[in-house]
Amino acid sequence: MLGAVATAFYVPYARQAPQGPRGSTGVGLGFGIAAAALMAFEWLLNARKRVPTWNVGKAETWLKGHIWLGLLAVPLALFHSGFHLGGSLAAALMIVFVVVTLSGVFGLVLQQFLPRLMSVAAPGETIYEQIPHVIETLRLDAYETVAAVCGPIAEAEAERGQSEAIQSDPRRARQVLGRQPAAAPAEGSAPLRRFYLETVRPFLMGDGRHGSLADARQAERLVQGLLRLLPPVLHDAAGDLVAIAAERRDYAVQARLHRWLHGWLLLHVPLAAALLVLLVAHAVLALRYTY
Amino acid sequence: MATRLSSTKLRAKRIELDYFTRRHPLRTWRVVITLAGFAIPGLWVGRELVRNDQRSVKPGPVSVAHGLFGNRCSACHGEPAVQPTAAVAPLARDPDHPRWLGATDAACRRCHDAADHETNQTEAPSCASCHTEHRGQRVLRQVSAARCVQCHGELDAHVRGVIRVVGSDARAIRGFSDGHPEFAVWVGRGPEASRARLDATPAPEDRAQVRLNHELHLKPGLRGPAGAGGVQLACGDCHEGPMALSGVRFAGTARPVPSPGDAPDLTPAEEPSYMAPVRFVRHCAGCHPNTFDARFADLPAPHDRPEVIHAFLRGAYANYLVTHADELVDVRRSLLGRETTVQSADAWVNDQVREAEALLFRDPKRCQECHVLSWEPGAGLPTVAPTELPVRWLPQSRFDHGTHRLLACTECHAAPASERTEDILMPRRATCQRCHHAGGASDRCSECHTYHGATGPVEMNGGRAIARLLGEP
Repeated sequence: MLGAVATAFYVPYARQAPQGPRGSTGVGLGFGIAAAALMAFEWLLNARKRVPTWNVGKAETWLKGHIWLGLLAVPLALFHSGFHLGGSLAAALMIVFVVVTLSGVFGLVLQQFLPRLMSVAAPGETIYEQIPHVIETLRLDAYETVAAVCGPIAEAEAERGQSEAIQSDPRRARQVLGRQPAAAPAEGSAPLRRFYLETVRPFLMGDGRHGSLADARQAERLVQGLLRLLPPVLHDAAGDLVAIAAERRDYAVQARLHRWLHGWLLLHVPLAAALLVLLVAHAVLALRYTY
Repeated sequence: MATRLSSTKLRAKRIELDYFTRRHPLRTWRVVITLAGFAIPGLWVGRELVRNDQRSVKPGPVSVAHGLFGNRCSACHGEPAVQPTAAVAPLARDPDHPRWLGATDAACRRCHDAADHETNQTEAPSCASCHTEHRGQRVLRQVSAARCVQCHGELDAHVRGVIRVVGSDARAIRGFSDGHPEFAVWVGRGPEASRARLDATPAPEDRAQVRLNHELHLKPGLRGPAGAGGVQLACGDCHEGPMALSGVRFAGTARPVPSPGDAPDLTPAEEPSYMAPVRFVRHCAGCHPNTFDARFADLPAPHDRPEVIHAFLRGAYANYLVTHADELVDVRRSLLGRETTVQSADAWVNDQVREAEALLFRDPKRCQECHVLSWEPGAGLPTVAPTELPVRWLPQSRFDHGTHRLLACTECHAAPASERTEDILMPRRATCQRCHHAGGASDRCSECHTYHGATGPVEMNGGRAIARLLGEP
């Protein structure tokens, strides 16, 4: 509605302006001031997020204001410029403003479906910053699962060392890990050992998107084939490895979706910072050289 | 195969207790890039300002004429170093604000001696309010009609005191096709000159004291210069335009002699756009030679005042007598025989001059064919009424014949139908409006009108040094 009001002001002004709509006319300057005020307001959302206890409205309301008033700034800025790019500084300002707005719209669109997608595609969601650490624990968990059946695995030297360190550290009793390896390999455990070394361990050490366990259906087929080779007493261990692989896939999906959901901010926020600087420079210089 | 137990508690135990004390690289990069977002444009703007290079902060390119100093903002923005020239009364309304660097009227008047529009305006707009720079215009002089309409759309509200010259029908002009009155021409000269609209009743008449019949001159088969046979004149045979071909088809043979009796000339500023005044020696003498005596077939009388002609004739006959002294001897035969009389040179010259002047001044096919002559009681020589030929019919406007050269002259000037000198052959407003209207040829006020004074002479010696324009010390 505010945009419609602004348009209703602009159209007759543009038609009647003696030298065409310009930023230095009274009406043009008014549009410019309004657009600048809205751009400055956009930065207040950052302040509001940094001080959650700041009792000046709900974060959701602030976000809505950030979005709608940010969109309103677009026509105001265009009306101020009279749809001209102007000189280098003004053109840079307008271009940065457009990119900031488009990136914001892009982020807004992503936020409409990515969170829901993440809850469906990665039900085992964890704290994003802890994903590398959790994957590390999964690798260790997988080693100990296999070692408990097949005995220490010399090829997995890193995991073996970590497991032994946990076992010898009484302060780490709260950890879910630290199980003792078997003294000798169980009968018929060779396929399990081989499955771990050739398939599970490389998958856990990779990015979770490549390998035969990256796809759930393919992983299920692999496991079914493995179970036929293993004695029934080892089926639980095989099942644990499958669950660990599934958890790893979840974390890979979560990480990718998280980067999409937040990566656009790497463009949006820095450009918004540049926008603020250019805006101040433009306003000061334009006013100084006009009046 | 039993499913692996993976409760929330078990998942939670995988989380490091102090993870929140460490910043994720994604967040770190966002902070770094954001700081760069502040720093990079700040450094760029700062560098431009420190180097005093304002090209990047210009709102747009300057007009073509100002390209000489387009990158030197101080040429227009900032306090002027010198006072405006004394040629114009400064109407600058510039407050003394050294902090603000807007382009002031005083800055414009450092180079432009622009005369004021009127002295009884309620307000004089600033230069920049009409001539908006930084749009890369080819011609900064072209001002939007809306600026003119701001006052002329409601003229009574923008004038102090009496509104001069403009008629009552010209006080609400909103465009060339909206409210613009019929063209008003100046008739007469000197203190008796007056302005009349072409659609007035009765219609205004040319008060020039010259007889001319355009319709007659444009007929075919006219008697041209000796040996030329029947001629068909064209407009360009008498009216030379700014890009006319050199030479006139039927030019007079006599040397052009500068004479105050010739039609007044255009000002130098007008020469490129307007038709040159018709001159007898160049445009008329070829068909209308001022011959007065068969003995002086190659020496026509000058196109000048009667006194000058009189002196010329006396001189011509006196010179003739030097080589033809036998003319003084008059032999008459009578019943009494031959009678020889010898006339004095002076008397002979007087007789010849009298006869020549009778031919020139009294014969309706000589001077009186075009001029109005009158004799004071007892005066020997006539008085020629000043021709008062108008050089410019619309001095308050500007017209360029060169840009309209693709048109036939008769499209605008109804000469072929004009038999009377009193006919004013200027085009009416409707003729111009056929092309100049919204959506057609430009109908801006500035196409024909100038804000800064009448379209008169322009001082060609501006007096300014190149170094000053370039900002050199």
